[in-house]
Amino acid sequence: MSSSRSSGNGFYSAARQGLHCIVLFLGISYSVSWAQPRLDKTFFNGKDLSGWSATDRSYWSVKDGAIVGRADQPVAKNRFLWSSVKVANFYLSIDVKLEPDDRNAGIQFRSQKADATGQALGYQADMGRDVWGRLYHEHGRQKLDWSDRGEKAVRRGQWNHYEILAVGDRIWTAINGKLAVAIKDPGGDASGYIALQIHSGEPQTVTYKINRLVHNPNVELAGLTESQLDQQLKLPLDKRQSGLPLKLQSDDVIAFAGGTNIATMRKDGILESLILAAHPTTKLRIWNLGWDGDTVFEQFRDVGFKSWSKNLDSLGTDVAFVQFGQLESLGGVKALPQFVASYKKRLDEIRKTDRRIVLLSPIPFEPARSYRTPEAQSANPLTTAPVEQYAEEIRKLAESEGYGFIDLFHPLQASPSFGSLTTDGMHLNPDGQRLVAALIMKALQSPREFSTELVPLQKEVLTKNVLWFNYWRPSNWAFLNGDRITQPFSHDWKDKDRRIFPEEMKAFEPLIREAEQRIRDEQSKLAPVR
Amino acid sequence: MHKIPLLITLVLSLLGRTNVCRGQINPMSVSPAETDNSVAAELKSFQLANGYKIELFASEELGIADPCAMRWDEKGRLWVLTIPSYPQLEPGQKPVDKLTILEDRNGDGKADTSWVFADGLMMPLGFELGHGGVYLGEQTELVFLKDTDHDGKADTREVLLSGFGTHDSHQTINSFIWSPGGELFFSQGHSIYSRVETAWGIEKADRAAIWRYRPLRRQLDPFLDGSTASVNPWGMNFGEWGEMFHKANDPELFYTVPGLVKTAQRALLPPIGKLVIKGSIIEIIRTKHLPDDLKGDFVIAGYYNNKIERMRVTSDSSGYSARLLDPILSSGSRSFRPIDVKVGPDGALYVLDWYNPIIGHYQASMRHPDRDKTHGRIWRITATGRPLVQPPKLAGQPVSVLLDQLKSDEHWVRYQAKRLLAEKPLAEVKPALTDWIGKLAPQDANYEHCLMEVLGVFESHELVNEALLRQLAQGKESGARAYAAHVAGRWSDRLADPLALLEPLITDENARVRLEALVAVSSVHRPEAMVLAAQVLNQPMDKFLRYALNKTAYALQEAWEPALQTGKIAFKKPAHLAWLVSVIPPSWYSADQYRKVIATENLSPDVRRSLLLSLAKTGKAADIAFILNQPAAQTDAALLENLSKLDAQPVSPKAALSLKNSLLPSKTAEVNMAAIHLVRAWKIRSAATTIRSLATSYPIDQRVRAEGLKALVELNGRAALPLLQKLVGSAETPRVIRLAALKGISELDVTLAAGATVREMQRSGGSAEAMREAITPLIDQRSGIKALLAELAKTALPKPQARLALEALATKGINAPELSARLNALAEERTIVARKYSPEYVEKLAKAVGEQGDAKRGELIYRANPSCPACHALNGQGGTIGPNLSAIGRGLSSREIITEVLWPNQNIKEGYNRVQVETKKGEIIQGIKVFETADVIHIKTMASSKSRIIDKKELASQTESGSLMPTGLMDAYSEEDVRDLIRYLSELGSHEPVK
Repeated sequence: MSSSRSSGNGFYSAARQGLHCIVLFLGISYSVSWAQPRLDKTFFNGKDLSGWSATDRSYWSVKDGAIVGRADQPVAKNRFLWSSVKVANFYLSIDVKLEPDDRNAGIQFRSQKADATGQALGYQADMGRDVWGRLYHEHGRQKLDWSDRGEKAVRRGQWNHYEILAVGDRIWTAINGKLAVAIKDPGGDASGYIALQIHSGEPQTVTYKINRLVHNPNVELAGLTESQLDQQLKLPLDKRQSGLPLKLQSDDVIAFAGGTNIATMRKDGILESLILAAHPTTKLRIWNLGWDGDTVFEQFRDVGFKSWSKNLDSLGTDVAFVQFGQLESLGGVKALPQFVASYKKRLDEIRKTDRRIVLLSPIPFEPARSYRTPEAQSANPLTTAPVEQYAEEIRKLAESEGYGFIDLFHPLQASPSFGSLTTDGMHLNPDGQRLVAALIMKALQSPREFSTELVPLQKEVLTKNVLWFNYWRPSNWAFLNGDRITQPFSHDWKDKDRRIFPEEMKAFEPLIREAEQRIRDEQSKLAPVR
Repeated sequence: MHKIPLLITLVLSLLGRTNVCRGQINPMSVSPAETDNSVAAELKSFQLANGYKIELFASEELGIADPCAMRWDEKGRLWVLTIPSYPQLEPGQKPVDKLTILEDRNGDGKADTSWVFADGLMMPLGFELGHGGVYLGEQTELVFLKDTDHDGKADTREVLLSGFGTHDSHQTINSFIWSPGGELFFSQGHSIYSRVETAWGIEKADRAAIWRYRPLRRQLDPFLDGSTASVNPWGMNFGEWGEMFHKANDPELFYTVPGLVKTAQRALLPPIGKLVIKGSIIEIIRTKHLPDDLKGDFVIAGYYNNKIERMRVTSDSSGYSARLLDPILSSGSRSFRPIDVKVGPDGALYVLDWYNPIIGHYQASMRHPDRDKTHGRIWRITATGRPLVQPPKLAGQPVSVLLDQLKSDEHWVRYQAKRLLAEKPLAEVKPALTDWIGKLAPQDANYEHCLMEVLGVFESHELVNEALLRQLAQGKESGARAYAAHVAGRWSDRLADPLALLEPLITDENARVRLEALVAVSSVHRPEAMVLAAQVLNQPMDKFLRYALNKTAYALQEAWEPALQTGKIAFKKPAHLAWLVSVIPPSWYSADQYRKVIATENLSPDVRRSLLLSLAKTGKAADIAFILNQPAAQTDAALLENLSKLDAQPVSPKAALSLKNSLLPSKTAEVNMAAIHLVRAWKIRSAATTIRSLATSYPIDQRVRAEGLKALVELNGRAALPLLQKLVGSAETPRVIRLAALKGISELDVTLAAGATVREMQRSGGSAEAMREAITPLIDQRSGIKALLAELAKTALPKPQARLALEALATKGINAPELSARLNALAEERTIVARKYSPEYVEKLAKAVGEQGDAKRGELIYRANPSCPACHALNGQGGTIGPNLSAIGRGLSSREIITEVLWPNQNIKEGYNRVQVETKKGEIIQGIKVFETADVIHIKTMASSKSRIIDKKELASQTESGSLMPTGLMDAYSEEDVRDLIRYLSELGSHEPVK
């Protein structure tokens, strides 16, 4: 299975691009490549099934220039014929006929094989009684667009003209020239393979007459222009995305975002070291974007410092671990609806095709540690803050929006060390950090605890994190890129037009790359010896 | 302007070209400032007031390089923070900042031993000792360092708080000090934005603010954020009864107490006095060693002008006022940069010397080679002929011994003893405290002061002692009562009935007690607290009480407003309620409710006016009629003015008739004018004829007539043009009226106005001021400059007038290159040299300034040029819209002054950005933005000493860019003139001004 993300950048340029953007604000270069439409001549040759595969070829044949799927006996399991052509942005035109007309078939796209029997995981342009022209997510999220407008255009028992257009996170289909599906599915499958289906059940014959496959197509369908098509888009019925466990791939960029508890992770590097150690041969880049006092309501950044979501974007974040709700819970139950709405909004800002987002619950407060002597006990709101309810609402939000969720609240509360996991009742101490890191690793299905074996790796992680912090959130921001950049401070002392501060900041970039290389060297030492 | 060369020639010929010795002035603070950086050379630069002696205590020889803060420990050792990593760590470098301990083991008044307590620190700016360790402000964090194995080096580091801003590395958290009750205070500067997660929520402070941290409770509170009490507070201190003061890094000194009300509402705290130029830190002299005359004076580190300053602070109703006395020390060395001053255990005054030709942050490049990274000094000033103080042994002493030290006359001893008592285990302290209080003799003169000090020990342990508090609350000394009020606020969440305790104090005979009680009440979030707070109104108010009471109303708003709405709050006097709703009008208050409150007897004019305004905002025609029908309203110019600033409200014929009473010639001109403004703003057309007859009536006050004309322009539009043109055209029309008519024409038709303006300019040959008045109506109008230029292309102007017009443009701060060029041509001035910036040119000119610059001649140029003093103050004279120039030469090198004068847009000083707004009516207003809220913007303009407050609803555009100082002011001056002017400016503040 190859990486779905364009990884042509390689580490060097990708990192540079990411870092660059944060400080120098060159903007984000995530635009879809403006390649020309390209007709795929290899997709189907009209004569035989070269370029196609199936676990049981006996169902499939070519007749009169069309692919025929025929089952003479009842079929136990869905059967698929897989194309070897990978698609991302594409247009597919097929004429299809179902015999008898009450059977079920479908066209998988941007799909993967789910198991050795060739079952499919991914989008399916559905066909058959009661499902014509609907969008199903096979083996995954199931119903995505379930309107019946495609069905109305169907000529039962005859040839039907089926078109699929997928560009970025937008998917449309049309039957006999009438628009059927129109969804925007941020975070959905961005690329994969096409497969033709015979559904399980009674004997049937499905004839797929492939007209053409076009990569990077123009956005037009069913006589509608791009903007008309865009107007039809809605979010899918099931918004879930790839949940846990995460599959981390080489070149993945992982970012952590949240308040002080996240920010503090950069100072001990425990979780980072564990993640790297669990993937000793995978090149991962991890950035801590935690900022003290960040909440779903406010992420304060000075003039010239791009927003929270832009920072995640400009780093090219593939996996985001986000923790909010800790300080917000001090607002009590009455503020809960506002919290959920704001959290959803924040997440909508960072939701992206192929970006995996995992929400970390807040941790339980330890009110007894919020004061230093018994006399200093006070009526601060830690005792009454409904953290558990906030955690529960975050879990529900993750479920309904299709994000991963890791519960830290209940395991911490149940821990024998509960009561001595924070420095001040709210911020994790090293023991707390270790426990939280272990919980996250468990949820990622890479259970692992910190051990002395990881110390050399951790040391390099910490070195990188210091460089990263001084680069990303340097002192004197006002002069670097804030509201005081015209002052002599950031300029050369002789040539006043030359700004030396931004130039100097660039020196961090090779230093960070070198630090990352040392991390990888340590990481690879942890790989099991063959 | 044309007079300058003549004047100079004349004066110079009188003086003769005598080359006066200008003393040892090095005009360059951003190149090697001192050729000799030795201790001996610096010592030689000092001029000390009589009766003092100065010696070196420590220097770079003991590892002191770039010191920024110092604190004493109980053993008399001096802890010094050094920050060579400042101002910005180089990429990949490890920070090398240190906390070093200095010790004078042989007692000769010089440190002889030093070791490093903590190393590898990252640009920390402040610290204080306490709880057996060090509280250190390091970038985003407040950390606690401790030496647990007693080897003299920190071995543990705990982050107590994090999230402090680092947007400017000379403004991160600094100036740590313990309050008498064991609270840690520190501050942050103008470019800092902090968000700190605490158990009470996220504590926020944007821009300059003061922080208070109660360590045992881990409670952090921000005050005075938004730079409302100085843009860079640096240095706090507490008086003998706990009165808090803080020093701005700028000239101002503040009495902090009125600002210690926690609320997000922002208002500028009035300062109590100021230095001539920047200085930081407050040390209050409380030692027997130093001269009696110095006792109680505030000593300030004048880092900017190389002085140790002295201020005398005296009572001023509920607060204080301060005046500047002669300095204790002045230095001719530009590298002498005192940035901390502390009385030591021996009673001597210790001065921390950053020793650096470059003090500042923004004024010089971050990598300027002259940023000194190797020197740093601590000086010791003693009083000649007075014995030094022998400090008692404090280290390792039991609680009882430490308690006895609270009676000491030496503040140093008491501060240390309290710090030590705060860190002793409570089990040890608690019994000893009771015992010690029991042994105090009530007849002793300092009995109540001892109680106050010991109450602070209770506070530092968060141990409530209500009996002691009550005793102090009934003390004979007003200071004791004031302090008790303060503590009642601090303990309000643990006292059974804090408001009962505070009740007598808020009506105390002493104003300062009332102020402290008011601030204390603001921390009790209950409706009754507002009832109590309002009782301070029963006695005379002053600026400090008003400030605190307003803040209190905001701080308690969430408590009193719902109670008021549900009728669950009863004020002691109707006037109290009236005051409250006049300050914060409840959004749900009805017209009937306002009318009822307005009927309250004996309302102050301010309160009544504000209530009437609020009533007007409810906006019913009947209410407007009610307001205008009030006899008091008809003679209240301020009310009418304020009404005119509201959105237009419905005015019934009856109301309009009432308003005409204010337009009667029998009323004062102020009332007439305010009524005209109201008619104009609300477009009350039925009053137009009345106003027209006022405006054209010769005996009426000219100001009233002028305002009347403006109103007619508004009401009648172009129909007013014939009248205006008639007035402008007639030589009999008084000038004020002509100018007003000109303004009206400018608003209606700039082309017509241009012709009239040029005629007016031809008449305005008398002075630049007259010329400024003549051109202003047109120039301040959209497209006005263009129209004037077009007219001047057709119509010539006599040379003198053209010269005056150039001058007027300069004093108005207008950048209009084409117009200037045309005027220059008309004036037949010298060739215009528009100087282009290049480093080589600056270098060349700087060299000329140093070698041939003539400061005396420069001063004459300065004095003869009206555009400089129009904006800049120099030795107490001139405008305030631009930076004070009194000691510019201390802070900036000649190279920098050249850049500032010739290309003012290159480096704009903090807070001096130009803002230019255009109103929807096309008026252009430019100046310095003083304050801005969501609704209004306050702009300080050159036209008036008062800020102009502009409603954002009236704005068409707002731009902020560049400097208010126009480029090209020197275009008509020769190289020699510029050279000499720069020379003069670069010597300012260096020695006595040239007489």
